[in-house]
Amino acid sequence: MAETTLPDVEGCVYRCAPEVAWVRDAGRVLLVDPARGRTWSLGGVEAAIWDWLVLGYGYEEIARYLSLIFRTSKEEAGRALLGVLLCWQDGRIVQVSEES
Amino acid sequence: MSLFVIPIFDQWLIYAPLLSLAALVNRAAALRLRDGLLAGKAISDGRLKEIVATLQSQSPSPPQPRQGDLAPAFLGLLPTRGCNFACRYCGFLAPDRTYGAMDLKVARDAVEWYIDLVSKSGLRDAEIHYFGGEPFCAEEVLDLTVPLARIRAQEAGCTVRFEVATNGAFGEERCRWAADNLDTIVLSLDGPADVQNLHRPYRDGRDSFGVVARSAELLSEGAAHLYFRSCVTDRTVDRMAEIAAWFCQDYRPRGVCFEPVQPPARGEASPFAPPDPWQFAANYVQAARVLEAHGVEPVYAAADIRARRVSFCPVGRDVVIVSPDGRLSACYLLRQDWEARGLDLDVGSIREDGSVVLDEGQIAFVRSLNVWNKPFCARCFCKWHCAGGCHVNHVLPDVAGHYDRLCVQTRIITLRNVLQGMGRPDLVHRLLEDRAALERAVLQGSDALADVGERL
Repeated sequence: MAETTLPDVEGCVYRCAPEVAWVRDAGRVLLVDPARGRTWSLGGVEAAIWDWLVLGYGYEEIARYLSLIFRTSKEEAGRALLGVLLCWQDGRIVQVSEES
Repeated sequence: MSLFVIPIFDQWLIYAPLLSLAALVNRAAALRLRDGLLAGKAISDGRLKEIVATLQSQSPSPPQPRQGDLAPAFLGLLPTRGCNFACRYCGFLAPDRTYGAMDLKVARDAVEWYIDLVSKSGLRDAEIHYFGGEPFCAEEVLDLTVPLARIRAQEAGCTVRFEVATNGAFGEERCRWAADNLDTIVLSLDGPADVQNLHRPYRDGRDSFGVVARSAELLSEGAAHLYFRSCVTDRTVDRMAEIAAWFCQDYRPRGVCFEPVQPPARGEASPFAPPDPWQFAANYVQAARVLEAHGVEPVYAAADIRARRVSFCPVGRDVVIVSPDGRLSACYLLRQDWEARGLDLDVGSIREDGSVVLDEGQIAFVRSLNVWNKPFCARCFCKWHCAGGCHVNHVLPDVAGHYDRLCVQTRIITLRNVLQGMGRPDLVHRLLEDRAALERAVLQGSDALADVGERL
């Protein structure tokens, strides 16, 4: 993972890609992209990150939750979060936009 | 032996709650049962002999208070004492006060301590309940602790389930999150628009029905078990059956809990009074019939005849409830309300460094609050089900058999549940239409078989 620091991602808003359908099931999040025939099953912390995004939490707030859960610094949590988000961005299950 | 006898018209209901045994017998049979069981006289009749043999051979131990290491039935979290409603009967909030939210570190430390305790106790199932105030007024506590508990439970190899008591005043996305992530949702909805808006306005005076009704619709479609909690006042007691029908028609609850409003705890003025207990019980029976016809469970917790317990509420089940300030208590009511009864229900605290400190002496005290230490309940047929009710709000009368409002309605509804379980709803309805016969059953000073000898 690239060493991207928090300021590079502050102000960005991540949202579920509109073409992806998703559903929660027994603590997991199942995602389907019918156009590309791809599916994902998120569990554990990834499912939590998904829920936080859906609920409208921003990057910093999510990083704060992760730092509390894993008892790490906010910076370290932010880097781990970024890794997940970049992976999702590559998979085109989230979209990123600049916060107005 | 816990064996009780209640007069039902010209018959006697023999009730052994620990055996789930109930039988209707005539006077002669009741006398022979008494003599056979208490004086050891031989009984030759086939059916009576069978009953006596069952009662003598199967004598399950009565429930006992917990002992040994703390083993909470669940963890309670109070994300905040604050609320966006100003229910006109609420005893939880001072309207002019603001209430802070639980610090997220406190919430994290509480959940991690609890899951660790569950794991070390060898238990497989953890359970977290959220109370308030309104828990969703501090939604960040839920948003952190629900995934956290899942992650920690998975690491510990146990399951975790979540329950929340809420007023349902939240947006659609939050509502869907609740329906998808929580296992049980107890939604306070007192009834149709006129009832809800009368009882439960927002703090700024706005009507709350619209948003709560929408939440009820969305939650009806979700996977979480939905229970309605309807608070009944003197103004709405005669509408209970109508409210039950409305719930079933418009929503899909698993159960409906009717609770009579409590008188204000600290002497505040209230526009509502508790309903008359006879009226409440009679209307509960009607409402229960409506609910059961729709496959919905009627709930009046104190009269749950499936329960065998020494304490009615979380107190006595080793439950630990975490306040926003990090205190650990056995009860979710306000501290000042326990103190007014001379009780201290704190059992520990969470320190600044995240460690949990338990007070063994306090745990022992809380465990001592049980029906074994409530002499008033000793000879009541409801004792193993209601266990004397709330330790704070139900002050037991001094004189044996002088049943108060809560006792009267609990006794009627418990009697209904027993007779219903026997397939005799006809007797319930006859009793409700014959006040003298109902009073004879409900107001007898002692239900113990040994004590009703003369009257037999």
